[in-house]
Amino acid sequence: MAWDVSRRTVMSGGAVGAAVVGLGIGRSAWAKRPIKTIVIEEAEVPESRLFAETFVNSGRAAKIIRIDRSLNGLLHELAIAEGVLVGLTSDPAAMIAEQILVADGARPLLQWTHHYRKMRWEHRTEGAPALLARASTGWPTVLAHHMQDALFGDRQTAELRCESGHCSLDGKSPGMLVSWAFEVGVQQS
Amino acid sequence: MSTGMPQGVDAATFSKALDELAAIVGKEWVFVDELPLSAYRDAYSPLADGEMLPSAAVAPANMEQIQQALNVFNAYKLPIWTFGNGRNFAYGGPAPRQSGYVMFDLKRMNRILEVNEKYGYALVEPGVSYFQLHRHLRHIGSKLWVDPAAPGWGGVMGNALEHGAGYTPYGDHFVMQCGMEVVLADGQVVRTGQGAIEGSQHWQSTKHAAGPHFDGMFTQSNFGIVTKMGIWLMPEPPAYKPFMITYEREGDLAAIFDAVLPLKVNQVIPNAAVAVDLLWEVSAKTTRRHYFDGKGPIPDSIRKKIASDHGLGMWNFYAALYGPPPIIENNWKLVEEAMMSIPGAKLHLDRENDPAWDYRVQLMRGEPNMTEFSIMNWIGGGGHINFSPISAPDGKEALSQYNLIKQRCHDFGFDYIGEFLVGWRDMHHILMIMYDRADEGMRKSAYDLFGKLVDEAASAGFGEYRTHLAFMDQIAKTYKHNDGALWDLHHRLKDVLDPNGILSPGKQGIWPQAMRNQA
Ligand SMILES: Cc1cc2nc3c(=O)[nH]c(=O)nc-3n(C[C@H](O)[C@H](O)[C@H](O)COP(=O)(O)OP(=O)(O)OC[C@H]3O[C@@H](n4cnc5c(N)ncnc54)[C@H](O)[C@@H]3O)c2cc1C
Repeated sequence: MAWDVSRRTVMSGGAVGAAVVGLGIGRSAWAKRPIKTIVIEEAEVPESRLFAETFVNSGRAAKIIRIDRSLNGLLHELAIAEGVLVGLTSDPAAMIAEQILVADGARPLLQWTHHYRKMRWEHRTEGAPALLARASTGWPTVLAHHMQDALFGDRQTAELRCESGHCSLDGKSPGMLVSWAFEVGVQQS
Repeated sequence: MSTGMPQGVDAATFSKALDELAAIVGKEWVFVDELPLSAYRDAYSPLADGEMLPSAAVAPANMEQIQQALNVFNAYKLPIWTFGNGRNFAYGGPAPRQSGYVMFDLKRMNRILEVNEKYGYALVEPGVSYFQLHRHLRHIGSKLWVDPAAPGWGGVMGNALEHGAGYTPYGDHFVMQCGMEVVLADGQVVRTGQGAIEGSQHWQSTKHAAGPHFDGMFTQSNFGIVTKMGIWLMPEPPAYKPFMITYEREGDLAAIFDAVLPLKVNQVIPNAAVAVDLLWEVSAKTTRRHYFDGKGPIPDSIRKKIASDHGLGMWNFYAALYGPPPIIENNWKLVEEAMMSIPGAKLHLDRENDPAWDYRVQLMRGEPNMTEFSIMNWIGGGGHINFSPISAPDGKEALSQYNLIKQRCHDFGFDYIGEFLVGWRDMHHILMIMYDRADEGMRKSAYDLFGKLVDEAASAGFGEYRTHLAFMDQIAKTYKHNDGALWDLHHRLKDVLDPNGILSPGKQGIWPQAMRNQA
């Protein structure tokens, strides 16, 4: 048995949210086949609810997993989920999801960050900067559509950073969010 | 040094060792690829990216596989890093002390071997989490409680081995540990206490046996691999009364602990009594950016507004009473008299729609949850590192520690976010230094602040009870009495028990001979 230990490089540190914009994983195969999409909604987070609602309305979500503020559901429900899991969640919820999913053999498809500072949202994504910048507080809807394109259609891979115009922050928003997608339980080459 | 290989081992030799390990645990339980290995990072590391990364991971299924794997590690002198659930976040998560180590991941060994309802204990393997044990107890209809650390995904064993703490009267987890089975570096299996009696049925009910106690030696150390551990479980009490008292002024901290001490040492308050500062308490409900978008610590005027908006104090004291209702009623009179005598104190026996109250009440009755992670939203970007000095529960002492540490936090541009927790006779002070991981300057300042606090605390006569990987050596060096005699003893033991230096080198600043000079 040959372990390819000499060519391999170990992924460098920095986790979700730490300047991680996309993981450069080719998505071409996705466009071809129907995929069960499970949306993780963090029920207390207004942006997360809007994002999940958009997925449902566009007919893409096979299931919604609602997580309450105990975050316990991330442990109980993610371990048994299969398909493409997507979410727009607080940073700690994204970190917990990543830990659970990667340990279970899931493959990260994308991780983008959304940071509210100085009265604006700053988005670090791949593609769609103009749309997100213009969206102001409705950005989770734009993001959900854009994520569907990225996952199931044509993917732009350039890292982009954009800022919205001045807008307020919902009193219930954590103000730092991560959008993410993982592929779980699908045979990997 | 290559991050992809253990130090001093070439690729061909490493590949051969991995073959031998795969033959023991199964190929699917040896990991060398980037993606699975990424699960062994410290997601909240205070170090620059690219440090403390493993070379491979091996996950044995049982004690025999551990013994066989140790033969391979010894033969090739491969440094390994052992853990159970690997959720040691704030102190390094599952990450190894140095890059290149092989992760020895015991998560697969997650059997609950026994629950004894009569004597109130469980015997568990390294991978059993609080959630798992809690679910199991409810499933079998047990009336026993677990005592979880705040994050319910933590391990019953890993947490106790780290001297971790929970919030019921059984909150000092190492004190509640009883009986261990340990595999030494050479593969020999040892049971501690009464476990050494052939066929003993009592090694989870009594800690005592003839001869010295060895259990402590296998905690926060690298002298062996623990494969079984007994943990005492609290029987569900007939009644339970959680409460929170808010205090208006920062300076009230001294009076709080002077009032708490007699209640604690006389067991009137039997659980870990915690005084939580305003920002820690409020961060489960809102974020800093909702109040202040500037740099540096939050101004006092805004702190006052936060307190008033959320009905909180500068200190928020949590504890609970347990037992038959008449005893609770009686003890409550003592608590009320002492704790409510501080001017401005406000009592809360319930709080609506308050996630912080909810999760603390759950923890104090042994229900695991993950809510405390949401305090990481305070800054956003989730980085945090815990500075945890320990001392006696004296009011003046607590206040002077608080003033010193708060001042240093402010000097470095950070908010003070902390809590004081009183166990039996000890006071743990947990300072959570929070920073945005994506902000390199802030991460670096958090690191520098931590280093300074270690030295200043040591000069004032305090040590830390536990620490992040990155500061283990610095903290080890603060234990200076008689020319560092305690760490000399650790090193002498290390050299005898693990002559090839394979077990978690550098854990708690304990290095094998060959690596000692580089530390
Ligand atoms: C928000 C937050 C809140 C927290 N609150 C608490 C709290 O309330 N109380 C608390 O105690 N901690 C707390 N922590 C710290 C930490 O998350 C917990 O202590 C957690 O339980 C430790 O992880 P673990 O149990 O999975 O242990 P592991 O990571 O599995 O093990 C910890 C260490 O123990 C040793 N070890 C483990 N298993 C073995 C073995 N079989 N043989 C030999 N050595 C072994 C290793 O050195 C290992 O690195 C908190 C952290 C965060 C981020």
